[in-house]
Amino acid sequence: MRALRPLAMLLLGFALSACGVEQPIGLPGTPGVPAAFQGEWDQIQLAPWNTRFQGDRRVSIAVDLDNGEQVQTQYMERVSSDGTGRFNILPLYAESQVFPDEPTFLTLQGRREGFFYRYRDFRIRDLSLFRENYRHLGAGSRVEVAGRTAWEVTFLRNTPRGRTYVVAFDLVTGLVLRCKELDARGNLLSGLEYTSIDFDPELSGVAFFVPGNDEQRFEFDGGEGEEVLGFTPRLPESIPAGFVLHETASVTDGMGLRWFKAGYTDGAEMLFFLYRERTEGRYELPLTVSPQSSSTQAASTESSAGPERRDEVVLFRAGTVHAAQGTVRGHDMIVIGEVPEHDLLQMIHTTK
Amino acid sequence: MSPPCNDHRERLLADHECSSSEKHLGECGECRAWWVKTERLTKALSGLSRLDAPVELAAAVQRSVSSAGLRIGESVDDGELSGDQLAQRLDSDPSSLHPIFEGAFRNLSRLHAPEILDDLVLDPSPLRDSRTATLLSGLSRIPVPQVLDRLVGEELESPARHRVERFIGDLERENVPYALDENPVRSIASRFGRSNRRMLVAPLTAIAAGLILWASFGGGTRVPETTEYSFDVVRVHSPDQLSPLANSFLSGMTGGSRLQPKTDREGSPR
Repeated sequence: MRALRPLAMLLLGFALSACGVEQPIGLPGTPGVPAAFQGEWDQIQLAPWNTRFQGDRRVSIAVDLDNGEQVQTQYMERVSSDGTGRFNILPLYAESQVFPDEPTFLTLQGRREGFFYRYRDFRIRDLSLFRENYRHLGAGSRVEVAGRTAWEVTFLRNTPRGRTYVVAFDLVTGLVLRCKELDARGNLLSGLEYTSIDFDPELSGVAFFVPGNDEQRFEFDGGEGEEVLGFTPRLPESIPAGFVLHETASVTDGMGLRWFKAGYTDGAEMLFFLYRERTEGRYELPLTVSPQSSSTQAASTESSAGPERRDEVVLFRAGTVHAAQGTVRGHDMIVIGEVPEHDLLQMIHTTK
Repeated sequence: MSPPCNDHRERLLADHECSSSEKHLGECGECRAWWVKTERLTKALSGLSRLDAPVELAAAVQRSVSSAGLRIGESVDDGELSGDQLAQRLDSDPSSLHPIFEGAFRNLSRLHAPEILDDLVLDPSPLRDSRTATLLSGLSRIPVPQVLDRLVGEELESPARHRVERFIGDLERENVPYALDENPVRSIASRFGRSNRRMLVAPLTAIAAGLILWASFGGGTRVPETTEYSFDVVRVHSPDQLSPLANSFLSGMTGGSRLQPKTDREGSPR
């Protein structure tokens, strides 16, 4: 009987989880949801861009490292939006130990404002896709966040071991006032919560975000990419389940080289694919790694013993985020996202 | 101590190989004991590191010299002597050095002789003849942490178990194959409704968990399925080994968090 105890616990856990009322996304018409919140999904999607506001919020991040250490970071930042698409994030101060020191950390965070506002913060980026890939648990509940009335809903990704988002939307504007990202075991991966917010702010002194990487968006199918990039952009044939191409652009790296950037989304999360055609002798990705700090998985038995050097792809994991980069068949590729590493490698493998 | 003894001791201090005094040591037991003690003291002193004069000595001497200069210079019209004038006075009247340096030394903080010096003089143990032993014995003793006793004791009680635990900790963590996540669920979803799916997924999940455990502990280190790739996969453990562009996207995705084990110099406590 003692040996059966873990199995019994597993089944009990599953039975308990089954008791929750999980529904497909479609809050309009759901009993118990406030009328003000019914049918507001479009506004929720647009709220970060068409709402004028300024607020201070607490950001929490937890990352598990390979050595078993969990790095917890917490700091405050001030977010401003003028309601016409312009925004600014000003890091205020750290509330935990930060890397490498507080002034440097805050400076670096300030430089990442564009990425944070557009990609890190919880967004419903594609409503139909979000409905397809996520479901919500129950009808949600009314909560108070930063003195505002909000409606808090729990969203679950439609895959086993998928993440859970507990999101509180402002009932008037649809803005996300609080969001917690949890792993499958309920551990906090990231959190964001406004402590104060003003919807009629004075923004004359705010320096709004200007992209620093010369980003130029274009439609992938429009043929514009080749003109902007100077080479033919390519996309992987295999992409992780549930993701679709969301945006395409050209970006310039620190060495002045242009890359093709493809952003994929599952409706909420983002996955990035970066690609460029290698110019002979001009740029090398730092693929040289010391034997002490890496382990090579031979792709086949001939690979290490063969006379020809095979292409290499470098893989790195930081918590739930995986990054893969390499030069394969003369193409530089970088893939980063919160998906299994096998999916990233498949993306590189199928880009031809 | 007789006057001759005193003379011999002074001569010995001035010249260690003074033959007449060495002869006296053979005759006078008291002086012989004194000489042994003195030699030990000399040896100990020569083994000590030289301490620099305190920085405040210069300032203290300058103050004393100035005040002495004022006193000596009472006869001078402007009531104050320059450095050169003072030097001339000191040359002509050396006794005026005494009040100057008395005052200067009085202002200095007293440095105590190392305790080891007392031990060396008082303890004639043969071990003390070894300079290294002497220096080591002078160091403060730090007790072994109590936890070390406990850890060593536990390890000695069950060495095999601890060795296994250590090696398991070093093994690379295996990820569950992604196919296990997606494929079974998708095939079930296509055939059954949501409620039926749960009924099936529960036991399947349990079975899958059992299989994973069996695969993890029963079969040793398993090579991931990478045979279909046209490239080799190199796993790195530091974001510094990624390109700057990849690093910048990774930093964005992880919210600017630290992504490698901390070193002693890093981090700012709050």
